[in-house]
Amino acid sequence: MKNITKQSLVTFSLLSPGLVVIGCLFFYPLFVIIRNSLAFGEEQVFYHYIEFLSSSNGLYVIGLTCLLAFGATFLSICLSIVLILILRRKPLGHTFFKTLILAPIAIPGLICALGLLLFWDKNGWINLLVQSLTNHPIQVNYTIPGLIIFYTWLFFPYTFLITSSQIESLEKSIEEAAEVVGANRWQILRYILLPLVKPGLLAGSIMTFMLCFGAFSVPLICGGDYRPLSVTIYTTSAIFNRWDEGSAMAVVMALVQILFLISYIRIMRRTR
Amino acid sequence: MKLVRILYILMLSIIMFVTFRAFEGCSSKEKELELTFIDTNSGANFQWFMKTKVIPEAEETLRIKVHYVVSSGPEIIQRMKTWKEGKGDIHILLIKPKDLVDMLNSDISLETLYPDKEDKIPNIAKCSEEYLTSVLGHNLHGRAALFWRSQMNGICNGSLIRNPPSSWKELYKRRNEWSGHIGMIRPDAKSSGGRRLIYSFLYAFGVDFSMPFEELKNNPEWNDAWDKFKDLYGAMHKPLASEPPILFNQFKKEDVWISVYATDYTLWSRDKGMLPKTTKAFTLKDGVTAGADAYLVIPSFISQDKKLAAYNFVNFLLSDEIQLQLITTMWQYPGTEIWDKVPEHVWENIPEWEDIKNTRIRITNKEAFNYIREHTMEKIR
Amino acid sequence: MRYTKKILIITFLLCFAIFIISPFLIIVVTSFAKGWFGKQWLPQEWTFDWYHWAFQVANVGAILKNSLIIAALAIGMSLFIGLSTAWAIARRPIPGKEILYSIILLPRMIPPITYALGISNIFYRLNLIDTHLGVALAHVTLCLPFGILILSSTFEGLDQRLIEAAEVCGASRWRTFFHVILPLVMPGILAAIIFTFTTSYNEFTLTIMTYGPHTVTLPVKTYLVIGDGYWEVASAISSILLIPSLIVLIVILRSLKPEKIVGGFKGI
Repeated sequence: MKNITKQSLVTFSLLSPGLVVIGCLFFYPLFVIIRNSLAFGEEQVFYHYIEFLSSSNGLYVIGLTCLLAFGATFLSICLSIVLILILRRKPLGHTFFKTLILAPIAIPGLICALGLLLFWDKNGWINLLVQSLTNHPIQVNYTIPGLIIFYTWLFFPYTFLITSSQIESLEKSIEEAAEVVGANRWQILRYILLPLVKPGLLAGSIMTFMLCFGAFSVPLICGGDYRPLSVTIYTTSAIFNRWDEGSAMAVVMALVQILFLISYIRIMRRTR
Repeated sequence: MKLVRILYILMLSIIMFVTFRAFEGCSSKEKELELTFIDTNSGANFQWFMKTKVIPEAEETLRIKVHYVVSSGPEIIQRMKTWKEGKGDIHILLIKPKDLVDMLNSDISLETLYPDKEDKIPNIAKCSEEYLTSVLGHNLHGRAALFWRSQMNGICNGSLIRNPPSSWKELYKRRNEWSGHIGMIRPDAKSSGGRRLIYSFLYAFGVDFSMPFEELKNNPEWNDAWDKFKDLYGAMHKPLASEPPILFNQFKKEDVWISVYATDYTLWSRDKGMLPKTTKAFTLKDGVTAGADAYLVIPSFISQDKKLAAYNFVNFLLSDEIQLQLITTMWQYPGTEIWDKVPEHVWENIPEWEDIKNTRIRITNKEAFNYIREHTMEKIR
Repeated sequence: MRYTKKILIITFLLCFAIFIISPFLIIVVTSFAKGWFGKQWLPQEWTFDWYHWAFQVANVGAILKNSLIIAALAIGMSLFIGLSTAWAIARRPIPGKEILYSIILLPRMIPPITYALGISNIFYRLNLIDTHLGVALAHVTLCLPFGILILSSTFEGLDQRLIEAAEVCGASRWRTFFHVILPLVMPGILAAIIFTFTTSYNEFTLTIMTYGPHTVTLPVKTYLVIGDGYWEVASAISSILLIPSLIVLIVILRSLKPEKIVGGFKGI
């Protein structure tokens, strides 16, 4: 009996440094934000929440953030599937492509943002190419499709890496067996490969989704008139100095994110 | 093998780290008197000017060491509030009028430079008294010296616009001529360029900013001027630039032909090859706001010997030599009244001070200015 | 048919490569460009001015130093704190491990901007704003979950039989630790170091809420220059910044499984 208490005491003391730090640096700040967001002096304690959520601007911002995140997640999934199917066969230079895919993760987001802005600019290389073909420039920077492209560029590697790490353990024999049975390529893809990749894709895309939802540095620079939640929070609190309102928005953002997370996990558990 | 490589890289970074530290150790051994000079006003162009011209010259003539640090106003104010007598570690500051007012309103005590210290800073007498006694509608009591006067002006790409408008009213009338090519920085940006543009526009269309803001808001002229601004916004290049570099980029790509922005920054960038050579400045005779004027202040809570050195330094900054460099190389209007010494060719590049002097709007209504910052985007949507 | 498919695949890969590389390429070109106006594929003049500027005016050297100091502090603290916690999670019986994982990973799942507000609020009161320690502490919030995750999965992989074998052979506790355990977990620790380094080195959201003039890090400087300076100079600074990132990228590729960077989501 005594031994067990001693053992659990040791476990606890080993665990505690990490938990204490996370408590101080994460849960306590969260608590501070929640306290700040409540208007104790006012008649209505949830004044800032009601103000934010009932304004047309508030809903617009939340909608915009979700739209960007969903759009980018969807594109990432498409891009990742195609890349995985091609790179799985290890064509010439596949390590080179793997390096490329890692680049957006290893390089600071702001540098990427600057490069993307220059590249997709009205007189950037893409547009010069488009103009030499069609004579009509395309507007990419500071538009919603543009932002979705930027987000995809930045965050698709997470989907790709997680999915490909799962598919690598996949047995090649299953595919061969299907071929022997007489399935054509499309059938193999549709009935064998995709179902097998699905859990990996879901797990990978959640990472991409979360990052898109919380993206800050990129929309701050490339957003133009479109300012998702993170940027709105920053502008309201750090630039306009209305910390209470900013805190309320931050709490709303955290809640929405948690909501998405929970529903996502549910879907994933079901597909498993 | 791989492990060895990683360790090798780690070692390298540690060595780099140690060398950095060592360098730091070396530089602090100097014996000269050291001053810390905080700059919260300079944009990229003036940081370059300070670092490559002013500071080296000052160090040579005054035989002191100047630590030039670029920082942000609110940050520094927070820090200075915690100082004790004689313990201050910042000796001179170059700040914006907004931060100066914040300092005056908080209990940070600043040295009175004018007229008390005229014997130690003789050059301060060359500053116009009006600027030394009041700032943003507040009483300054000579606690700061004026280093430069920044001015917004019309700017345009001369190859695309041959005859720029001469007033806001003309710009408004001819807006369709340049539809989609009028540039502006978002009013809620970090840069105040957009806010100042709107302030000038409202002023030109009859808004009287001397009124208290609550009264002003209910004034018919206020609403009328805003409606006109909405019309102008309709002819602007969208989306608005979120910060100055983006406006510059739009200029470079010929998306934007005309705008109202800080003269010095625009023309200097042109000289450095960052804007088209055909970029030029023009005045709007019904008034354009001042940019962020630069004030020099010396905090009281610093030791006596540093204070004397700081006086010398301020005097040096206000000397004709530096002030002339301001206008001839940086295209910035100097803080001192030395117009007779300015070479003629300068006025071919920037509008003459004589023309600016009377139409220049100094921002006095802080509430209105804040209102512009926070509410313009919803108002014009 | 076969050929068309091959061509299709090659075009796709080529487009993809251009898609990824070009933004970096254009940064490097811009950083040497002078007078690049209107519709031109390449600048008219080339210059080193912006690099000169980056070092002389933007103080890239001092800022690199700041970034490295902060990253070193963040790595040190994360590892120091993370080691024991990771050990406990990996090698000791704990009820509700799943929940524990979720709690530890939570800071990485909720957008940092939300708690960054709170952190800056608290740090202002504690006078930690604009200190290397403060910024590094803020980074620990993001680095620690990562560290714990990687370390605990390394410790889990540790074979108990090896340790027992060492003990049977008469090795003392210290000897076992230094000669058996340490070599086995070293790759894991190095992985943790590299990933916490990238996290801290690239971190922007938490930094911008806690930095000050003395603790400007590279991402913050890039932001400041992009937002309030010249894009040519920003490009020059960015090109300089690319170098350490590329080194890290190569190290990751050569020595570690890149999959680890995204960390298994065991908690879910």
